[in-house]
Amino acid sequence: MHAAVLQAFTGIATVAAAAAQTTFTERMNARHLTQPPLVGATLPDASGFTAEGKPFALRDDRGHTTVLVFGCLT
Amino acid sequence: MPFLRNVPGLETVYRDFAPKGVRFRIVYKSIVHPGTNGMVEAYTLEERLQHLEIARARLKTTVPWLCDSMNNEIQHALDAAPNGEFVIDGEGKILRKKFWHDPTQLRAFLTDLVGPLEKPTKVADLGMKLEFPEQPVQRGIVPPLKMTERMRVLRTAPKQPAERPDPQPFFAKLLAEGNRGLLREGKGKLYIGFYVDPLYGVHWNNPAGGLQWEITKPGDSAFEMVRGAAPKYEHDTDVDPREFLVDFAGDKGDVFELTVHYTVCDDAETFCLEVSQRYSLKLEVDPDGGSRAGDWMTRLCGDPMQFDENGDGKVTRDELPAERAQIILNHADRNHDDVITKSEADLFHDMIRIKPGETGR
Repeated sequence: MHAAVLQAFTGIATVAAAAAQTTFTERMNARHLTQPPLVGATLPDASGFTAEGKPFALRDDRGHTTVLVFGCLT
Repeated sequence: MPFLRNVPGLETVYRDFAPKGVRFRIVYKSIVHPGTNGMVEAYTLEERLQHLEIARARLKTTVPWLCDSMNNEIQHALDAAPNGEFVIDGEGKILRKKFWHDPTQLRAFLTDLVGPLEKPTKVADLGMKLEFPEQPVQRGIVPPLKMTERMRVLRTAPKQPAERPDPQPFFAKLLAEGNRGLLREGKGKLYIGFYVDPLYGVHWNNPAGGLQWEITKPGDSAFEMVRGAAPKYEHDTDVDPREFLVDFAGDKGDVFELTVHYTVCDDAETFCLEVSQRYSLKLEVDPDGGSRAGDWMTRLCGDPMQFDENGDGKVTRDELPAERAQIILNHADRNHDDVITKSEADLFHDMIRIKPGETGR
């Protein structure tokens, strides 16, 4: 009985410790993964422009593994 | 500068994996709050493309860039964080998405995906040095306004006079914010800031007098004009923001007209201009408005309870701004019942580490 309680307590403590060690970025990433568009889903199409100002649609990169990184001067 | 810090790392990943057929795109997105080197929000696609060009030149990365549309179509479609990262396969399927880009993790992911490299590029190999040239005009003359509470960015839009055949640039750009009282009770504090846009290489011409502005409400003759004026400064020139915090009242959704008058000279001292420009100002949170603390979640949702129009202590889908309702619910509605309760709002605040009433700056 005591062993079972101790085991349960240790388990809870381990989970709590793991949660405490989770960084803000990791938590945000985990939550982000649950929001659409989900991993495995088809990328929604959307349009922007090339650096030269020509219209560009995300579907234009179909056929290639593509990395998109968002950023600006911040 | 979270994005800037990661650019050299991204460059190494690009140089190693682009030859293996992986395409890379940096999506240049909107900035509302003044960013590095005083960059301010672009009002036109031409201005945003100029920002992109400046970023490309200063960051010295060879990664190809995209420019998001002026309505931020790509960022909204992907629900992307300001420095979000996605990997998409050739069929258009999302293989990986991250709230925050991390070049080290991206490298590991791509190594698993396309195979290991014989000699991975290191940041030290690049010799990259971020360049931000000194501003030719003085800064720090006018002390920044100290804010004591969190403010929400309001919807504003520049209004070009129809009669002008060649639109005059907005040399100084408006940032308007309201506090909780103004947005919820219709009476509170309104922040008005004008930021010199470095794209145009101009500075305030202080001897000509301080910037002045006034707010009117078209069609409402009973509205008492609200106005402000910057003092005259001893220094002839500077590019510090002109900031004001005033008492203001109005109903949610009310549209006002703000007119600003100022004088600028170009940094080469070849011209000085007296400028009068107008904006529409709506008492409504701009969901694309930035947060000075750089907190994307704050700028996206802020305090969800601010949308509690009927004051029943919870926020339903129809109380949220239609275009952002789903995204806000995604982040704050933990039990997915389309209602954000006070406790869910509190948990949301815990998650983003900003407590109600604290400043987001």
